[in-house]
Amino acid sequence: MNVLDIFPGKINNAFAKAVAINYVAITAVSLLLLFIVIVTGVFFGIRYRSLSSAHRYKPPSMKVWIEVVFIAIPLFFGVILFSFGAKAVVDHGREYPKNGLTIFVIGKQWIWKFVHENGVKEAGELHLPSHTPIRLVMVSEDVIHSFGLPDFRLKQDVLPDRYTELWFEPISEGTFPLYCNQYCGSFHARMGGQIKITSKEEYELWLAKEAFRNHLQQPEDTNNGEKIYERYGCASCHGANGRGGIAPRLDNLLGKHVHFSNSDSLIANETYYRDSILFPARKVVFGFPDTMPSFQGRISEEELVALIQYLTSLRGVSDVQKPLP
Amino acid sequence: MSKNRYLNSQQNIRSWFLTLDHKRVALLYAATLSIFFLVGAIAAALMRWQLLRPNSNFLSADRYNQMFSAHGIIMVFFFLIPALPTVFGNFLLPLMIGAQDLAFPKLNLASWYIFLLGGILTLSALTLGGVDSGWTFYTPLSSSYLNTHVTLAATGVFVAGFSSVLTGLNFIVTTHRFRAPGMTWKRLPLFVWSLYATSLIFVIATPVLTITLLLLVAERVMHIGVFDPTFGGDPLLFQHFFWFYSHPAVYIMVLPPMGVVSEVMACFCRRKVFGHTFIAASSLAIAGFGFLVWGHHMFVSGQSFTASLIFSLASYLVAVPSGVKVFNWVGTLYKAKIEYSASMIYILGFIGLFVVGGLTGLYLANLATDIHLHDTYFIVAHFHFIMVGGSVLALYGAIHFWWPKFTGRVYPETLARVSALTMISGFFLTFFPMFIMGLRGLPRRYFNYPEQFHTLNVLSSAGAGVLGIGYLLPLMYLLWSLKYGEVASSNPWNAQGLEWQLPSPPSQRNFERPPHIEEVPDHGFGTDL
Amino acid sequence: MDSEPTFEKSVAPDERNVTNRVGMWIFVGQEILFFGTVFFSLLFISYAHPEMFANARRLSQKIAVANTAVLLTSSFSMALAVSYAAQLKANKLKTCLVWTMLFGTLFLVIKAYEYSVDIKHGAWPFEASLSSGERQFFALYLFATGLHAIHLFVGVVVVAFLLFNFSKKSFSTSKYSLLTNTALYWHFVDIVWLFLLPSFYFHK
Repeated sequence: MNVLDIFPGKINNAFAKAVAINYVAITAVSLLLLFIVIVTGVFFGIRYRSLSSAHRYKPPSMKVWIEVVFIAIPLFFGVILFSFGAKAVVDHGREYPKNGLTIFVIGKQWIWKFVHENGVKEAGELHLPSHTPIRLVMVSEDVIHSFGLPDFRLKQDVLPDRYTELWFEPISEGTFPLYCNQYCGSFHARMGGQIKITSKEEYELWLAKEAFRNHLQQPEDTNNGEKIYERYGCASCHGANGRGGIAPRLDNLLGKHVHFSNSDSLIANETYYRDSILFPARKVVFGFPDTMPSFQGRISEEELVALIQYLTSLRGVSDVQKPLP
Repeated sequence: MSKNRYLNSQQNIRSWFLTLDHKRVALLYAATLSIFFLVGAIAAALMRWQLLRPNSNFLSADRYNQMFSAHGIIMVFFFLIPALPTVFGNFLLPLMIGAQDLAFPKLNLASWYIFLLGGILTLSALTLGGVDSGWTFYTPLSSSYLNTHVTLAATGVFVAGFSSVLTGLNFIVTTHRFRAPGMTWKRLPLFVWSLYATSLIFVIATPVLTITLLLLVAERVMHIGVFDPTFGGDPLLFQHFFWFYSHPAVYIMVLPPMGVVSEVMACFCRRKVFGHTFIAASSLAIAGFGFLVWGHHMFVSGQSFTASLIFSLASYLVAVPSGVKVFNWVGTLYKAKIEYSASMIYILGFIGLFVVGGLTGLYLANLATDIHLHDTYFIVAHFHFIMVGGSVLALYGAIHFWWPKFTGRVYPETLARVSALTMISGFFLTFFPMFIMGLRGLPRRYFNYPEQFHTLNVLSSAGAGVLGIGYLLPLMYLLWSLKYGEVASSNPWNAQGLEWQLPSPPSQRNFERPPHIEEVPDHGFGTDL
Repeated sequence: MDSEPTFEKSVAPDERNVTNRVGMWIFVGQEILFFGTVFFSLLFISYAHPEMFANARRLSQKIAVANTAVLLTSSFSMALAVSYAAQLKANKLKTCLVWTMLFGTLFLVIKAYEYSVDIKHGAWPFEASLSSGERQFFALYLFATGLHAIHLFVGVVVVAFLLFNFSKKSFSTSKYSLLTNTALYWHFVDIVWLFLLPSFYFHK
């Protein structure tokens, strides 16, 4: 790579394009201001050097209108550049995909682990399809990490106590570096990896192959979401397949409006699932008693991911086919 | 030197270590800070050596992490924050306002001892086996995952914090109560204005840091559960508290240098600084706005989007007073009679590098570009442009400018100019490549790095060598000048401040009679020269 | 501060008192931020973990209220001391300071006793059997009240120093600011307790 190639790679997603526009805008303003300061400074510096015989009669000590200009210039450019940046991020948020491919990312000292929608896991390397909106739902098992993708101009800290998200839609195929950007202890520098972007077909083929290989190696997977749902006794209240009982129904919950007994409400997402398992008392569904025990400290992040994947996959089966017991 | 000067009026050890003379306390600080600067610089040198090769194993991963932590903790808390206020502020504040000492001389001496205690605690943490939390001490890494001497190091910073608070308190009271007759607020020297603004930050921000570090220590000792989610805390709360102090701390590091720039420029431009009132007001504006922008360190941390929006806008607004200062300095060059003395070169270097540092800040205040640049080498480059290109260069400028007043000697001018240019070019070569590394995505705090960043790192390490020479050269000729330098007159630069009316070095009581101030000095301009 | 670094003519003793008072107010201001951060943390945690405060019933409200009375009495006698000082009644002033010191010490003794009761009831962060939420509450309690106790201890030492100083030499106006500044600090520490009391002991 040439020393003067400033940016990593070409533009791979919509947000990178918005970032590029911001770079151009800021650089233009910076160069303009730099030019003004340097050119005037150097000009005065040479003209008014002590040995020169330049005209120096009555140097002005202050002129209020000049000071007003001095204030107006950075204020004007500042507000413009702020709105450019804000617009890019607001747009990025507005295009947030409702039905993207959801992949869970678990960071731990010093490796990135990924869980695909069908439960296939990988570490250090993430396979993704191109031209598909991708949502990364991320959590850390220990300290704060930061999921950094310079080629996509994206970065998000990964926290130990909540899910944070990142989304993008890759355009070009290829292999791109992945870094941990937040200092996380001894081998922070080794907590990198790769993002492998292939066509949708190749990705699905790869996914199926991995799933098949897992099945061959371990025909009876005891750690899938359904097994965890049984193991922790969720079914005793929420019913088999989450179809409800003395506790709220869990099928078809993702994206639905949920109302709570403290008259709060929200739209159910992965964070809501996680919080409800770990801190059930905080948000009690309207019309139900506050009886659910907390699973904090009893369930690992990986189990949580598997469980939430299972719960969000419950699309609900019509009651005619499978009547309630 | 006549026998009544502050340097030689009394010569036993007691007269130094129990001195109540603000000038001697300043020298005590100067000696202590020099040691810290040396330790911090050695840590930096080892890091640059390690980074000469992409997969170097000169330092192990842990050792490297300890190096950047030591470098950061020492340079920020034990060098840059105290440097200008405690050495030059202590020495010059009473002289500039026409007082005989600070308001509370005993408290001033106590501040030094407190600082020393904090420094010793932190240094002992570094020598006992090191700290690898980074200077930011982010939780839960620092509170629950590191087995190194984080507790000891944090306690050291905690203790040193009290020294900052007491120094700030002392300066504020002194400025309010001990100005000589006629020294109105409008006539106050710009360096004093910047010290005043700095002191406000000291008093308002530091207690938040000290208690946060105490909470961190309590978290390590008794799992108090404020910051560590395992015990029910919130890791982002620590970041909010930390940056509530540490962003204003950047202005602690850069406001006094700005004051130095104004003083030195007034002298070597032979004219009144352009827009005196606005430069003074902008110091206060920076101190005020500085408290509203801490969240721009947390754009990718998971803080709410609304918060990020507000902090981004505020960050652009805080650039306004800095811009006003720079424009006024350039305006000061107009119709000036510029003498390119060594201290003037350092100060012009400050302005140039500060402008670059400030303009690159525009990329980091921007919500979109910051996501790309956050926690990369771009940040490292940006804040070194402000803190080294800005603060340290101005510090060296101040050392050269007031050296005759401190010591009564003059250094070799040509050598000083050469070393100023060496430092500026060495600095530029060290840190400019880091902007490019950051844009290409190299994260900070990596002990090994991908092959593609090799050339840039070699350039940077080479620059660090030049920069090191730039640091050491002045040390040699300044020490040399103590014995062999020409004896300085009371006003070798023909400057106009009150301190230059006193002999060099000043007598122990500074002024025999209260000086009476008539006008802001203007170097007798107004007629064509 | 004995060696006044100023021009004797320009700053009279009264002026020196003002200088000292300005310094003390700034110091109290930074103390407010110091404790303010602790209270903010408490508020923040209580928002995220309201359930944590159920543990408050395991602390002894009776002892806390009694202790509050003790501390308020000490503040009262401190205020009395200041008013006697203004009237230059040296003996009454000293008596009041002795009472202040005694009540301050009594508070610390009762607080130490309360900690021992807490340990007995398991309201102690180092107790192994606690859940993390319980530990969090008691650790915060210990941190905040401990910090307050350290401040009060410093106050007691300063008052003892004042008594020693006043008995050595006669009381004069130049010492007035020493007394009023100590009183300011004492009342501040008192007020901190008045915020700690409802924060930790009284929850529904």
